[in-house]
Amino acid sequence: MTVRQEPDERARNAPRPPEAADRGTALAAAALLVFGTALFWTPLRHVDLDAINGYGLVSVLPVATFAGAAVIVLSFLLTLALPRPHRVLLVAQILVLIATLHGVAQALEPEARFPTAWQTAGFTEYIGRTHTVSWDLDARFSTPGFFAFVGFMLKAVGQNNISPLLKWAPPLTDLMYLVPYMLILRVLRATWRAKWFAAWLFIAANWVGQDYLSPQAFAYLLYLFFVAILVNWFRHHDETTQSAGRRRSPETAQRTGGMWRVYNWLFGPKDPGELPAPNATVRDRTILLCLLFLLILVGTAAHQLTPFLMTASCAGLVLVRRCSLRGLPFIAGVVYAAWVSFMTVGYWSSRKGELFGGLGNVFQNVQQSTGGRISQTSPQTADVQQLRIVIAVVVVGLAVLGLLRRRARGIDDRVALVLLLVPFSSFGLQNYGGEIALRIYFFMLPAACLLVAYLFFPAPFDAPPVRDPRVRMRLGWLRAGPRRHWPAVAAAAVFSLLLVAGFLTVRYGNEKYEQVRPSDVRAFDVMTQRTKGVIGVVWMSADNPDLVGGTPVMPWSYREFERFNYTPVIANRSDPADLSEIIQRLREQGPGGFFVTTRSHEDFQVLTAGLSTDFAPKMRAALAADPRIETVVSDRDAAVYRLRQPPAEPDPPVPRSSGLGLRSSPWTPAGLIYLPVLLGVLLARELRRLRLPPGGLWRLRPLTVLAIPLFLSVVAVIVERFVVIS
Amino acid sequence: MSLALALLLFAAPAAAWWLLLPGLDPLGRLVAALAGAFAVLAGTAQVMLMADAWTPLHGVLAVLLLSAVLAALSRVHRPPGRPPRPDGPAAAEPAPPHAPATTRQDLPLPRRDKEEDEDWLFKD
Repeated sequence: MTVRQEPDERARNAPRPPEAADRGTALAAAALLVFGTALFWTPLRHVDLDAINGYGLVSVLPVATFAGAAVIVLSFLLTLALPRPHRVLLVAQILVLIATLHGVAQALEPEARFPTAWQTAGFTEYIGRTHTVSWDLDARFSTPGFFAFVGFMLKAVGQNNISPLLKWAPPLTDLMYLVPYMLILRVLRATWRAKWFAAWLFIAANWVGQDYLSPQAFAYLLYLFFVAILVNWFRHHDETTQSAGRRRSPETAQRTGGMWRVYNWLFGPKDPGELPAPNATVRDRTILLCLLFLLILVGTAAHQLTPFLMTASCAGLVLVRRCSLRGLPFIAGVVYAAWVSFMTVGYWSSRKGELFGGLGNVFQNVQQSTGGRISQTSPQTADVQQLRIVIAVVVVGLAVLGLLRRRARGIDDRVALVLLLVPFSSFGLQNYGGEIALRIYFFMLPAACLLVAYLFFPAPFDAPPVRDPRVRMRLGWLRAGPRRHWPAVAAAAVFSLLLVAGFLTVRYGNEKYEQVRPSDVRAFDVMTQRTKGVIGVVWMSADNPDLVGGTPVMPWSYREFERFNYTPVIANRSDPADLSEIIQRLREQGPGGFFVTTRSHEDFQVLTAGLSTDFAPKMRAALAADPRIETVVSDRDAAVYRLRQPPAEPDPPVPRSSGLGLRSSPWTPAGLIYLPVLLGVLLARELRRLRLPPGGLWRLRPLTVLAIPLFLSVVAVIVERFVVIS
Repeated sequence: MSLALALLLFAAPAAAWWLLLPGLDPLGRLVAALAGAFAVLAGTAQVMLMADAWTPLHGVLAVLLLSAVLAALSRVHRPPGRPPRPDGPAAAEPAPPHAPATTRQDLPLPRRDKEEDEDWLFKD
């Protein structure tokens, strides 16, 4: 293997940089960090959240806060410019960055932000109260693993109030992502600058907002753990990339010309982009393999998309010969398919067509996920959306450039390449309400941040600062010697400043309607207290929600999940005082009918559907003045109305919990026997593989022969279930 | 208070996985232990929910039991050649820092000589 190694002896003998200057700069960076933090947080006390406009939180943040963010960024980059890593300082800077970027809205707002996060509270409360799930209430009950986990933890520690967890989950989750990410970075052949910059970027580029208390955030954490364990302890034993000997015979070495240069660049001898794998004993790897299997099981029960990406990333690593567990993708795939077939029957049996309608509709997905999200919106919100796309494209583009730069240096980053490409495989999988592009960006981030860091710091190791004094270089004082990192750090600083500015804009770009105010929560409390039975919530929508896929932008169903029904009323744009539709819908709800409107919800309709700004005040005034309608609660932020004399009918019973909705078919009992046996055989096969020496893989054949008929049987049962159950 | 309890609840399975993986470096061992703790806690909750046996108290007991089993496994299934953990002051000899551990490369390639297997037939 022709791997360029760090020259140990020379590094040891190299004259160490003067410690005093080093320490002085480090202290300056620490002081800058403290100063920047103070500058960021101190002026936030006087922020007026009501003044937010369509650009989101940035429209009210004081200038000093932006300056503080810039100082925090520069302090980190100054630390990167030092000749050696100061770990404590770097860790402190990353912690401050998490608190700064992912905690600023949480610190400003009294309640947990983002209405969708509140449904996690609703599901958790439902499980804690009924001790089961109900597949027909919501599709997310088909993968209830995460809700069960949160409900169990809360109950076990005696915490009855989920709101603190709900509120502070984003910074906590981002912090936890870094733990496995650190392990992934550890095995890469890169300088400390590239690794720390990648970890820093992983926080700063994660504007997608999928880190709230939700199944996908948890499953993403499991995915990172899964990948970290794979690339650390299950790498291929024979990790040579194209060796020089085979392809570089004397005659091929003389081949020159454009095409051969491209050929050599693509297929010529390269160093692997990963360090030699840490050596682990067979026993440790056995235990780690069992842990991987557990992670697959838990992840499959927690989220519907992530196990697919676990399978795909493992398969990708196997294909590029960076993972020795060739059977693990099969195990993950079987677990995933079995879960979908056996446990989510209620979900797919009723919508077979819809589910496969999204399959393969790649072009439609692209359009819906990117362009489709910008329609009819106010110019300010559209600007924020455009900026989101720009940031995503720039990050991915720079990542590709970073990959090419490393390749030009003769380094073959296969792990990063696989992790970058694997998320695209989920594009054709499911429509996902047009959100799949965000998810793909989210899953690309670990690799993308790494490759962007490589673009600035591509060296495989820190070369000692020696140069031949006889050779004259232009700008030699910057390109060699102790300051040779400065140009790269300066370029990285420009990129980081832009990225953090972009982050603050787009992450909280919808804050005008994504914040949840205390009155919103109280509105739903009041409704549950006023009635005993089913609550029919009527809400106003500017467009037909069946077409735009809308839900009320409120903390809807954050508790007593099963009691709520939602009926939209399409706003009469020409006459806000026209209440006939609302009253009609309220009558249809029977005694539990309420009309709810909140300021966030109204702002959402104004910003994304082009409703006029005076529509909601006029509508509220008309509702308050109408003799047929009683105002239950009303303040500036939220209002609840109901009929003065609601009809007694219809009064439907509160739906009882229906469990997971499991269903059987003639072959199902056989499948329930084959499946564990198959998983046992496949797992035994992988465990056996760990115990075989590199040349002895033929000894797996008996287990393979055993697994094939079992696998075919399980596939047959899954197909039979899909055909029979409808 | 709740935070401390939650950390304790995490610590039990994490410690068990930590004991179970003695051969790894500290950082890797910590991350693997954390992943294991997540898997055990979430898995317990999921099994309780799927099996229609949602009782958080029993869940906590199950987590503790599982952790104990995992920790016991680490004692029982010790790799060969590694001395047992010193229990008392009498056994406080310094253990060799790098026990002879088997990695995949060390496994002997079994010989596949057909003749050798059938040699006994002709021996007298």
